[in-house]
Amino acid sequence: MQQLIRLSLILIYLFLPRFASAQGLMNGFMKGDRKASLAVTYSQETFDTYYRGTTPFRDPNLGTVTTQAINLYGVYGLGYDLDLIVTAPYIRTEASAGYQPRQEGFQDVTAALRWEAFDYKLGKARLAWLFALGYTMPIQNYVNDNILALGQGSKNIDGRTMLHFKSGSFFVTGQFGYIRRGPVTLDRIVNVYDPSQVNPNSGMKVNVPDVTEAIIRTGFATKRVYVDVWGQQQTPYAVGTDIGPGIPFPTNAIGFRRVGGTLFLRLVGRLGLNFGYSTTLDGQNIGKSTRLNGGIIIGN
Amino acid sequence: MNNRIYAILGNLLILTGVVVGVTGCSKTIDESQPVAYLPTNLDETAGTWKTYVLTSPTDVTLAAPAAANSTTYQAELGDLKAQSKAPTTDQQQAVTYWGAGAVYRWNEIARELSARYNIPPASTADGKYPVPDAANPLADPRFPFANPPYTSRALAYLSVAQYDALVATWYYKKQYNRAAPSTVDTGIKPALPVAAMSSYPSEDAVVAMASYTVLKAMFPGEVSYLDAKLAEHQNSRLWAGMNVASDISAGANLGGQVAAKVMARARADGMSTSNNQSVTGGMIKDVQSRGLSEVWVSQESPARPPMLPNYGAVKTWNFDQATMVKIRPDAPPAIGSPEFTKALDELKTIQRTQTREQARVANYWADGVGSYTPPGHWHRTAANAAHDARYSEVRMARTLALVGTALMDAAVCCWDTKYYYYYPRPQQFGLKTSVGLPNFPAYTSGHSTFSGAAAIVLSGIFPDQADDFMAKANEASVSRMYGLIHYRFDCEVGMACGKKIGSYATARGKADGSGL
Repeated sequence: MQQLIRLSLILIYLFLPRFASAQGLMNGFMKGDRKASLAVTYSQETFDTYYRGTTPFRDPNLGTVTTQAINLYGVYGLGYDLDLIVTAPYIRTEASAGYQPRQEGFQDVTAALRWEAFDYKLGKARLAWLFALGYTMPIQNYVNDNILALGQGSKNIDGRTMLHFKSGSFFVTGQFGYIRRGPVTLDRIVNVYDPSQVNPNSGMKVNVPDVTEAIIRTGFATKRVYVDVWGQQQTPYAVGTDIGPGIPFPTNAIGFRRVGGTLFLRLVGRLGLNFGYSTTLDGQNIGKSTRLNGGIIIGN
Repeated sequence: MNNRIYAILGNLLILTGVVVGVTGCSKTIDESQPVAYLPTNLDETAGTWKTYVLTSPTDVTLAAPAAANSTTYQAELGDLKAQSKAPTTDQQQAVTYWGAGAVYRWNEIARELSARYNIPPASTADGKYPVPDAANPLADPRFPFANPPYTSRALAYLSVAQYDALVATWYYKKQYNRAAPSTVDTGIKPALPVAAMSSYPSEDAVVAMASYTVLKAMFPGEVSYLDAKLAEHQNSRLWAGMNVASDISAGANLGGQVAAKVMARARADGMSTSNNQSVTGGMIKDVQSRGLSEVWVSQESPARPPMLPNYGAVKTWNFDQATMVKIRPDAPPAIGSPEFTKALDELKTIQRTQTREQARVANYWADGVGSYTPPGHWHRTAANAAHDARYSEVRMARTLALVGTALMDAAVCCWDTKYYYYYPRPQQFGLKTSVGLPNFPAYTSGHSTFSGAAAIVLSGIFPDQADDFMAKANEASVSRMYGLIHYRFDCEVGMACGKKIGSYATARGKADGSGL
């Protein structure tokens, strides 16, 4: 069990910029009572095609968009069945062509509780049923209404449930989540948008569509090595807009299907290295991005 | 085990409560909406005010209404009583919507159409930009591309048509002086405030048809949308118990006649050749002969032909072509001169140190692609000020016509200046921008010219708010430096010229017989 707990560090990639991927709030490995870990990771994500609605589009006045992020990620076991997770990324995003300036700064801070509600023994295997609740808010008032932006700027609540099956070193985790996104206030009065929402004389507040998220992840976890592959589908739940002239970016309905993999290697003592790769199969109002990341993890 | 399940269910319920509590259970965004009012002044003499296109209200004709005791009118009253007795929820919503003001709502509709059509054509695979075709407005690219000059013109003609039509309306109201239906028959319960003036012709029906006629020509792909708006506006007067059918048909007739005359001016104002790209060669040669070392070049990929290079030849409203040439600003600093370098360095500093507040100002005033542009922004400001002041329909239209013609004059003058000097944008010297890069020369700033003109006109009409309008104009002007697409001299010179342009509209307003 100990090694599993140690490996709970591997989830790092949440709440990224509007064109960056989110690999899901968390995995199914609990931290353990009074155990803690801290991860510092770097990621680089690029795309030269993005989806307007679901139609792929290449903009010669944008070129390739590259987003780099440094993410701090901490987990602390409040109890044997309850973890506190905190994360905060610093992001830089820029385009290779056109005249959009680079955007850079702290994005959103997230705090989440993960609760292992059930733990069944099935022979030598175990099945855990977990719930999690997270809250996200922008660290600063960054510009969110632009194709290059640090994030959507909304305050979110993320609720999800997970089934985590483990037998020997093999594991498989399925999870389903709902992300509720609060409204945001733009810098400008919206001139054209959904008529049910907007007063074209004064409306600066817009809705950000909620999303649902399903992730399946499977792999092998041993004391020194962890490897997984995963698939993620994010689906807009509420009505949203497509990227278009004058349309506020935060109102876009964002969805995607991504696949990826993770490798974790324990070096010495409490020090480990983490690598990840993911790519976008298809999407909606998001970049068709490919992402690489690596990081150092210290802790139990 | 069961206890554990109950505990989980209990916790889930709490979680649900937290989710709802923190983010709100509804995604409805509440905003205050404009409502109906009785005008503070009925402007009963407005039938004598000076019109723009009409030489006199009698340029258009209107037959006398049926007498109050005639069976025709009595039947209309009976019909109105039936129509207004029990409106449906949708009908009540239409009454409330249109009750906010006829001119007000049609201005808003025109702005929304401008925003929806403010989409630059996309490039084709061979790197060309197809030109929108008025004869085939819904093909790709849609017609029109409602850029700032186009929108300034659409809104100017709309406002002029509304104003001229309402002056004629007030003229005929006075002549025919038919009492409001609810005054004649107290069994009719009006849903909106009733002003103590003639209901024939219906000013709402006049504005509806005048606006419809102009907008149908300006946005030919939107005929069915406009048909629906026109019908709803007309019917809302019946559902509200405000006008009998002949008030409305007379209004439609009058509004249509005036708008036809206004559109005759529009068809001959030079707009049809405003996108004549063949003039740019001569313009570039001329400015080079005057000493400009580096001319404006499109920074888009592929390079896009400049926006409406011949718009400077379009007919103005409040002064003539000779005056326009006279008020054209002096030449900008030579490229590489100390003055130029200082201005460019200032932008480089802003790029390095831009604050969140500077970004907010740049974004607030960007009014770029997909917006109703700076002219629309100032129409909104004007319409809201006139609404807050509880202006009569005719005074509201006068306000918007004064502001609207000044804004179109500003567009013509500014475009003339831009192509006369053909001055490069800061982006040709390495600066970025997040507010959208306009595809035409820099000098002078359109935002500054528009804002200076509108703020001067509005300050004349609402003197107690002059400081606020000027502060807004200055913010709009400097926003283009915060957005890094204009040098300080573009903004300052544009603002000064805009104020001059606005003063011509103000002078017209002083002399239009309104005494305002």
